[in-house]
Amino acid sequence: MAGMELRRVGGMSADTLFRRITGTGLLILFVVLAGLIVAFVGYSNPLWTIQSPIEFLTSSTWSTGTIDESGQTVDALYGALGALFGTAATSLIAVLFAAPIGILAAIFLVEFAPPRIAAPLTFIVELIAAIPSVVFGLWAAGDLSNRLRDTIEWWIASSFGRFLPFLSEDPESPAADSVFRAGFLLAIMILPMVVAVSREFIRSVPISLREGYIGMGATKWEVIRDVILPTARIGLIGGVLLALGRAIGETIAVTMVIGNAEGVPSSLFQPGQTVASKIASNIGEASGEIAIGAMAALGLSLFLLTTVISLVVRVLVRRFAVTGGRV
Amino acid sequence: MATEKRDTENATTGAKDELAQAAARPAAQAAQRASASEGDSGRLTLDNVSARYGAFRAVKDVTLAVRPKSVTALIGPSGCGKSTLIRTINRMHETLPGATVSGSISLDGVDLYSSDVDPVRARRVVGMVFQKPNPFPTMSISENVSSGLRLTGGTSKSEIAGIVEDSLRRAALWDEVKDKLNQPGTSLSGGQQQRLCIARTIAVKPRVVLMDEPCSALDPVATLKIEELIRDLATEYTIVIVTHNMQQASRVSDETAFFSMDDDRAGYLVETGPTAEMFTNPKQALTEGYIQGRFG
Repeated sequence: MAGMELRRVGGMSADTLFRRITGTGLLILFVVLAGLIVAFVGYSNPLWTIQSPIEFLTSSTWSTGTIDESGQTVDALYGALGALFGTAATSLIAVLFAAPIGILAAIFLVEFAPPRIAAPLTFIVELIAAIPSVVFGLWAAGDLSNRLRDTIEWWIASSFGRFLPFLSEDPESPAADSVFRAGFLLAIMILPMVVAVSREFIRSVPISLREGYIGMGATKWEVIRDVILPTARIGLIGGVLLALGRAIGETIAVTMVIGNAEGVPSSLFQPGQTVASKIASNIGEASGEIAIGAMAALGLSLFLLTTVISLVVRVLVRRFAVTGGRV
Repeated sequence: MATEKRDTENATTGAKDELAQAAARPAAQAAQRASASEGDSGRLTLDNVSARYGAFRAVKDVTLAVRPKSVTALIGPSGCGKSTLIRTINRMHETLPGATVSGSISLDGVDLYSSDVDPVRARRVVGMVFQKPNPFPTMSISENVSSGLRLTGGTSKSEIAGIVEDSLRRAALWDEVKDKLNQPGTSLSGGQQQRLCIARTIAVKPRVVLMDEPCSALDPVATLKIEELIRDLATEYTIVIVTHNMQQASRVSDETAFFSMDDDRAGYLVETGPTAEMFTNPKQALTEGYIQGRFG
């Protein structure tokens, strides 16, 4: 008789069973993603009965309208331009500060820090990455925001504000919150990610290339400038974009310091809002399917933006694997 | 004391001056090329050289005179410190954390480890070709060859183009790449890449070319080409080559130095002599055993 050990389990081989179990896990992910997209498109649909997506993207007026005698809501207009501007401005400010500082820090960790120091420093960077964003928000709302206003923001405003209106600030009564401060806070928050990703890509530049250039009579700085940064550049760009994606989606800390003001601010040192902070601060009051639809449209635009960035990162990193991996 | 003579550019600059001159001057490159043809023949003298990784001594008390404009092969079993030793000659060893060198290595009478020698400049006089071909992936073929010239500075664009062509011809690569000088160096085959690295090394006219197992990643045909090239280059450069391949040592070298490992795993020089003699009639039993394939 056939031994027990030869018999199939439940009519199928163990491999088939396992393939189905793991496949189910993946399938659930796809269902979630599809469900999310379908739901958001559905939620946002009522909005498009009163206005066009173009108006949504180009108007900076966000008005829930008024109720006329017949009980109808009139003059409602949901324009997301202010929020889109705030998201773009804060994330670009964040990248502007975090990218150079983070890449420099990564270069130091890989190229200069002795191994005994590099390991604890790397650990500290990871610790910063693990700090919940609400903690950063509290720091900024409590103290950091004022310090930034009195130092770097003040310096920029007094140096460039006269020629560049979008960098001007009234010295007598600076705003309590500002887009710039939210962006700078984001820079601090995404810095560990920039450092961690840059470090990996800088480390992945083969030692044979470094030694090749040192052997040609290059100084350490020349090796970094001519070999390491060019070889790792696609990965570095990918890391910065990844951090940009995080900055775009970051919500709670930004909501705590940006001031949540409507419209496009006249200066970066004025309060504003981002798409994420607008959703967070408005969702409580949103009632009626049109107002909910406007929220969903904000959510969709955020989702689209981060998806595009992830796709770009994927393409870049694949290109790195093709060109940078070959030596 | 020697630097004050530098005021006139056509002064007969001694080797000491040239190496000690840390600040790169436009004329330095030209002076170096001019002087290479005169008294600076590329005579290397290793005196009591030891190399350590932290506390571990990988090379012990090597004393060796390398004949100028000839090929000296360093052979011996794995782990006997050949590669470490060759890396002390261009001061590459010390770039690793914890790595130190003692003893002295002099090139044409100048101690390369003297405190007034800039290791960065020493590496322009002592070039190196590595085990694995390592063209810079973000540079074109032509940029790879000119990378050393651009580091030194002071060479005009038109001069660079000429030197790139000369160096590629010298490395027997010109005909294969002349139509694609702007393509990445990594687009070439392994053997071509290694000849590109040789072209890159000789473009700055060093006096010594170190080769650390330059053919170990190549197929036999590519290996043969590199070996021909090594013979050819020996008319102009002092070449020190580390090889695991004894046939290669016997084919390309004029002198052979045989290394072994003592009980503390430190590499030491067993004996050295003309290659023909080393392979037919070695003095030491250890050498004979290795050459006949009894160990290693």
